[in-house]
Amino acid sequence: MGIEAILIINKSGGLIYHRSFTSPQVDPSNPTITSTTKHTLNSNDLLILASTLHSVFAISSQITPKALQLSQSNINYTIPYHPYVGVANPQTTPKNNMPTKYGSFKGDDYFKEPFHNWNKSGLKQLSTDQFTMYIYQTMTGLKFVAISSSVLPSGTGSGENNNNAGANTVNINGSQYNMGSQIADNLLRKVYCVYSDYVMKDPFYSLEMPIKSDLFDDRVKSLIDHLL
Amino acid sequence: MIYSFWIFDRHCNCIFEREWTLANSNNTNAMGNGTINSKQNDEVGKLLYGMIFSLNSVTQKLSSSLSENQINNNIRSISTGKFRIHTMQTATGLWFILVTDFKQQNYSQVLQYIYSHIYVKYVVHNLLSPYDFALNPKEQRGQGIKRINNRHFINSLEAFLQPMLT
Amino acid sequence: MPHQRNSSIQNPEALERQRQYELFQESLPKVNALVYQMLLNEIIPLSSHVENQLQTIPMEEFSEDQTESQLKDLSLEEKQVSNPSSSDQLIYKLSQLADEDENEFNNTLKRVRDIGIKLGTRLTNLLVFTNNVNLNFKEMDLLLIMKFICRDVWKQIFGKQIDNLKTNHRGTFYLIDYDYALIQDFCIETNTIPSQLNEEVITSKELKLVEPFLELPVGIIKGVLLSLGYPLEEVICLATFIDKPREKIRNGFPKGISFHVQITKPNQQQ
Repeated sequence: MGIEAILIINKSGGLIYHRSFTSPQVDPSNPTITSTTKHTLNSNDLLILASTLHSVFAISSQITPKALQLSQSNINYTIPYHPYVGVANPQTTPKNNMPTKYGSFKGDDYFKEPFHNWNKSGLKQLSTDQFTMYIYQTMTGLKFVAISSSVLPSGTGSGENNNNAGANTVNINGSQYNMGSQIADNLLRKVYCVYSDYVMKDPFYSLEMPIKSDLFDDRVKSLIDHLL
Repeated sequence: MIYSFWIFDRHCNCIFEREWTLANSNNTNAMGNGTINSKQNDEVGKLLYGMIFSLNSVTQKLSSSLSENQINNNIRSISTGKFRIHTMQTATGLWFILVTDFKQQNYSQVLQYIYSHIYVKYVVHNLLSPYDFALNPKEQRGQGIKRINNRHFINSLEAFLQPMLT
Repeated sequence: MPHQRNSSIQNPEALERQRQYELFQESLPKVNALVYQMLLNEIIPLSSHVENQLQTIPMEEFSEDQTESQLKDLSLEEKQVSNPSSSDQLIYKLSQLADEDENEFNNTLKRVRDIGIKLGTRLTNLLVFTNNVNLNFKEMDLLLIMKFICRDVWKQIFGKQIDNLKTNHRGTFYLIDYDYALIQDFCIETNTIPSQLNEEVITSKELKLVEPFLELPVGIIKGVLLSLGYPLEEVICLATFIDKPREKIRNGFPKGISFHVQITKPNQQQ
């Protein structure tokens, strides 16, 4: 899973951090928002992206299917998505269970226990033909966004004429894909840990403002570097 | 598990909507479970389309930055912690949208099948169905639209999606 | 694949001709069936539209001295074609006409039928021209002609043969097609969900909408008969809906079609 970019969006929808990893020659000492990569997105585009994601977050909780709304009022209903509805996500940290294959995170693992997913009804993942975007939201409304170059393991391309797909032959490749989402959550949670360590503890940082901390940059970079 | 299915036309209007509520799962009558083209879902449809539309415009921008070859970068799926939205856009500007539970993943073939074997057959090839569901050819902001209320279409869609409901 | 009808097909010369015919059929350019069917179906709304336009032009404008100015009036840059309605609207309008303006309705049906007749007459010639060894036009009685319609003409136009042919051997025939190809995917669009409406009301409305579409095959049957020596006025051909046999009821059109053909005068050539 190649991570193309990491973004952090504050609770009012402003972009406070953007870092792109597509180009190896990123100068770590100068990771400003308009960083020197092949990205053609200017800072304005990025701000639009951030605010769009932020507003979609609000919308997506509005369009919860009726079936879900109904079943929430009655917990006795045993429906397959039950584990996800709110309590502990069945995600385990990669340290022991899945060692080096998906990424040996630098140094001592930041956390070793399953964690709670606060992002219940908001946008969590966005898959397109070219990339997948994962979003991890903290309890305080901060959003960590990772753009990954891996795409959906799709049976058909969007325009292809593969018409024999009956209901039974459709290959729904579930487990593998959820794995990607879980890994992304783990990664982004670590970015969150780094954030609280190096940004929140920085006395010179003013809240809700763009992050310009070299230490934070280095740590994020090393997180991404160790993720294979 | 499938929660709902939507079709939006190129005027951004919802021309078909089917929601399964599963509340009474014992009900074997296919039509008894959930709603078709319900007025109550109008607002939800607008929100859903608005969300997909704005996300799609963002991803179109991102694609030009992430890769050199300028192919269209359309959204395939959007997920929240509870449910997942699968989308397919046709070259003619129709959006086929399926809302499912979070776990299951790739419905692109399902959408492709609905488009090619059900929509094209019973709506496009049916001369009694309008070519354009907008009442006015210059339609832009939802002034007047028709819905697909065609029992062949509904029945075969129902029959095709029924096995995937649970 | 042509069915064997001639017993003489066994001799080598006939076999060779059969092979030639098949090769010829293969060599013909192919047309996508769906596109072709759509075009055939468009004849009905088109006829309706033409009839509509003719109604709006006052008759006296056709007088001879005015022809030139009239032509000018009709040219596109002078006069915008009035609001081109979409096909489905024209079809719905047409079925309303049946109650409101019978004259125009019948004129439209006649227009469709005339197109069918032209198609039928030409098609006979085309089928003669193809050198199909299975066809022998020299000694055809009425029954053979009907069989020719059921097998070859229907196969050629609609891609399938007539399901059932009944006759009383005195000039009356029933040609039954349980799934007439052109209307199989047709289904009425209602204003609300169909399940809330009365099934019978929908079906009767739907049948009324589809009725004009049956004039085309009626015309084709008449046209084939015309080209084989049965003048139009001696042939009565009517299409009616019939129930499908149970095993045929699938998702297609709910009714089969029966074409009732009657030859009023015994043909002179026989």
